[in-house]
Amino acid sequence: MYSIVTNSLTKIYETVPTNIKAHVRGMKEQGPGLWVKNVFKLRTQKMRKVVATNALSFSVEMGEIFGIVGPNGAGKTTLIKLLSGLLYPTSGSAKILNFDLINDHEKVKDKIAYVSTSGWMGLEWQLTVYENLLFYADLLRIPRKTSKTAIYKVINALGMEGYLKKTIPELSAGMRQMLTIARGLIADRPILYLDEPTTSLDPFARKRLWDFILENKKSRTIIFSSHDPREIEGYADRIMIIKNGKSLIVSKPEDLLKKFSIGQIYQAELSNVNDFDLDKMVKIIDIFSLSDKRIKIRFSLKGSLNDLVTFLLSKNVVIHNITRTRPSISDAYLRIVNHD
Amino acid sequence: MTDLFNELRAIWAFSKREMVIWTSYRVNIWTWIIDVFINTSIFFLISLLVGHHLMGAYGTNYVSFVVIGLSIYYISYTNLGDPFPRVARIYWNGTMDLYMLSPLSYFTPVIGIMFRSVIDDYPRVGLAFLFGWLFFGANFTFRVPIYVILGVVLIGFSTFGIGMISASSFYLLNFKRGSEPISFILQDVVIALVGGYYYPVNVLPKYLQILASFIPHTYALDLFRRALLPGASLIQPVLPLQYVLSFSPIVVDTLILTLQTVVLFPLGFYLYYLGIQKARKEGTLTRWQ
Repeated sequence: MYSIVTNSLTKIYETVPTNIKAHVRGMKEQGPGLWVKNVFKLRTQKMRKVVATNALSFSVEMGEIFGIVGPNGAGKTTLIKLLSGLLYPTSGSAKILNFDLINDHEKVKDKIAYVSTSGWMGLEWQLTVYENLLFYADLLRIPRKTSKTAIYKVINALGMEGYLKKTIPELSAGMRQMLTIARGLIADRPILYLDEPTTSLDPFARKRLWDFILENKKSRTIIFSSHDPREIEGYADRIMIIKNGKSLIVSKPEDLLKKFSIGQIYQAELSNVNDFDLDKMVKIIDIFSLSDKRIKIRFSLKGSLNDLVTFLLSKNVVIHNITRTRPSISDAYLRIVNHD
Repeated sequence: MTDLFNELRAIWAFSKREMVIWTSYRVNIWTWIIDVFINTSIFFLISLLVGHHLMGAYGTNYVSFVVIGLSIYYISYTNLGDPFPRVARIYWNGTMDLYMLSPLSYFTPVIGIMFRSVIDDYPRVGLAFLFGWLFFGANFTFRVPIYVILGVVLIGFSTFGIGMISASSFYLLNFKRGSEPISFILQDVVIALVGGYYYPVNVLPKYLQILASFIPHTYALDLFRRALLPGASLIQPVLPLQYVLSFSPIVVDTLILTLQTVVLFPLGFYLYYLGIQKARKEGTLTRWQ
């Protein structure tokens, strides 16, 4: 059911089912929730480069959860701002529910909700949680008859019932972020942009948020960004990986795993790892520091496991354990980003 | 009609929010009353010093004369001076993106957020009149009420038009920090000097009187003083254009104010619109990119 439109990004085009490709070749600008063609390359402003997206083409279906993942500075926020109409592209075109993003922006505004990563900055600090939401319900034209119900529905789903009468300074960073998200959800728009929504959220809050989103998935298209591929793996129907404003790939998570997680992934806990060239023996995927001397490392082998063990022992490294692990989207992501 | 209703509903929401914020600063109300009282008393003391001199077409009561000057100053200070800092507040608070993505006109947030200025400044007009009358010997009459009402509307809209021109510079000219030169030059230099808040314009050198002819304040002050000050003349010309045009001075004031409003009000909104469009193209609309 996915259709993706592209001129030059053949990697993206490969993921398009054949029946959709025929439709895409005709470039019919209709159907999907969001349709983007050769967008965007924003001009540079005087001395500083403002925006980081190059020509991108893709589309997203209604009811789809579309994850945008990339390292810091990849252009995720810029892309979401472009897709919401906050920024103008310098080329290309985009449609949302058949409305032109730029020319019909006033109509588009009724179709989209936007949660920005820094949205908590814009909360009304002297107002309570409930007053904040009521204020935005008025701005978002939610009918007065239903606004209270809409607010309570979201508040209950996100577990914020106990905070309704608290003002913003009384909230923790996580709760402020939850309120920012609630503000975007009360309008129940068909297109929802979430720019790194789970920043500052604890795992329980993350789960509550995603449970609510998944419950309402059918009626919405969700486009969300994250720099954490593990988060995207669990929830996105498709993933776009971007780096330096370029789309590296658009794919279903399972296809991404198949294509880019070839080979076995290992995980090891080691001590006394000094400054020697571990890169010669393994391809490092991730390193976590467990203590001053102990690290946890995820890697794929360049040679055999025996060679690696011999090498480590020769360097007086203490091997606490080495286990095989299931390849994850993180592995595929790192592989794609590092091989760009 | 629905759109208009929704815009009004949003303005009302902003107004309620501004009211909550304003009343949350409890010391505000007292400093606010003291400020108006001190301002009025300063001019009363000056009037004691200089005496109640004859002020030509505007009668003889300097305190009454200055109370009207102060009132227009308060209105102008709000309408002309506040749109820029309000837009700056929206931008720096990081709410511009939310407002721009809400199904509202570009202007509704600015108009809505201006309500704090209105509740903060407009009642000062009433207090200035009250204190002047209660404590400092000011007195007023109420002639030609229709012109007074028209004058209030026109000075309100024309100064807000200039205010929006000033606000548009936030995006159009990228004045993001500190003071903004358009309102500074107009409000704090030109209008402060030649607007006639504290002295009749005809005491100025001729070239400054001509400069005064271009600002709405000159005509509004002339209109209100003629209409509200006992003993003021409705026929004796004071301003350069009142000598040129063969209407009564108060009609000239109204006509010129109307003309300035028709030009300045839409111009302010148009420039603000252009500023937003420019910011969207350049990627400078919101604080966080």
